[in-house]
Amino acid sequence: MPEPSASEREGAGRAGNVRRIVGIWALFALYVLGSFALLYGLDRQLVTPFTKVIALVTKALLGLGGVEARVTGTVVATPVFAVAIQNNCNAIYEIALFTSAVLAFPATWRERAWGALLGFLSLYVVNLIRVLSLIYVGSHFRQYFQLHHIYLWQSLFITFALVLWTLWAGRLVQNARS
Amino acid sequence: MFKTLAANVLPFTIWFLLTFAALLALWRFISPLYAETMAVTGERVLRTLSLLPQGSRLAAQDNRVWVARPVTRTDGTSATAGLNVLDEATYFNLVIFLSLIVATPALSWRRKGLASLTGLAALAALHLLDLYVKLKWTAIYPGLRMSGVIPEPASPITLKTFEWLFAFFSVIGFGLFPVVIWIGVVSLWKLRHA
Repeated sequence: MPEPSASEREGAGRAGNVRRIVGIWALFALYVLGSFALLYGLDRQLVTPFTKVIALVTKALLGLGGVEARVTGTVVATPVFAVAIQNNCNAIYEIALFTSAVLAFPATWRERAWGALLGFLSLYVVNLIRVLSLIYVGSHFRQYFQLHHIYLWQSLFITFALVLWTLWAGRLVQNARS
Repeated sequence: MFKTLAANVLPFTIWFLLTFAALLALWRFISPLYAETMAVTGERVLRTLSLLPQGSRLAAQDNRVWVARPVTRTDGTSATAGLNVLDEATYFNLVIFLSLIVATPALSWRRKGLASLTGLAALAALHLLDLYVKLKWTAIYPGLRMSGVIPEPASPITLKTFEWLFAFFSVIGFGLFPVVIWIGVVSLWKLRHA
């Protein structure tokens, strides 16, 4: 049987790469849709309590900084400003996206577990910073609240998640090659 | 790709933030143009596909796309309702996408240009889809009766489908789409030119 030529080997390698990437994409799409269905379907049972905890943690952090705040459901109110923490500000869907990307990437389950945990903790903490900073901006620079809320934080938050995932995935690829 | 990016996180972040800041400064000029383009293109595409109800019109105003459509009130009278079907908070993800492309390491400026065009076309198509989902959902939404408007008739399956699509686009679309398109165009290019 003749040996495959260099171009045949290259073609087979490329086809293998394409299959691998298509496989990752398919898994990612599946996990994204699955996690969205789970979260949206269990909004009252899962997402709302999660958001209420964020509101309570925010209140506690404001208290540490000497700011009195009240929490009603998912609304955090200081004497001068109030924010309603909604689905786009509770980070739960971003955490789901991050976890979907971690689960879809070829890695051991141990590495995936570490990745998911790292993502959850980092995104949760950064989201708390987002909520606190929005309360600060809303209290002191109200005219810039929308700029921060819609443009800056939404964009930077998703980019932070992407960079975090890239670092995790990049480290794995690097380790695999070395 | 991930390895290259992971090894260049600092320049990637700096380029991303610089481009993001530049585009944010230009946003007041980009935004009305994009809204106008979406209104004109949306009207043509939806009309061609017979997805725009008779008597409805799309128009851009205040950096948003609005639909003006005939409605029937619960008291039987007719009126024209104006509803926002695409706003800045939805399509600002153009800026995320372009910033990601510019910041991508190991990609020449020519290829960044090509990747931007391909990705922007894909993102614009998703914005049009988003616009259509909002157009449809705001027409069949059962809660319209509470505001004195009779919703358009729709089967339970159609109602559920559009409710979920509306939620998906509203909650996840903003962040998911630019990132997925960016990874998609960059990976495709890497594969083709590996």
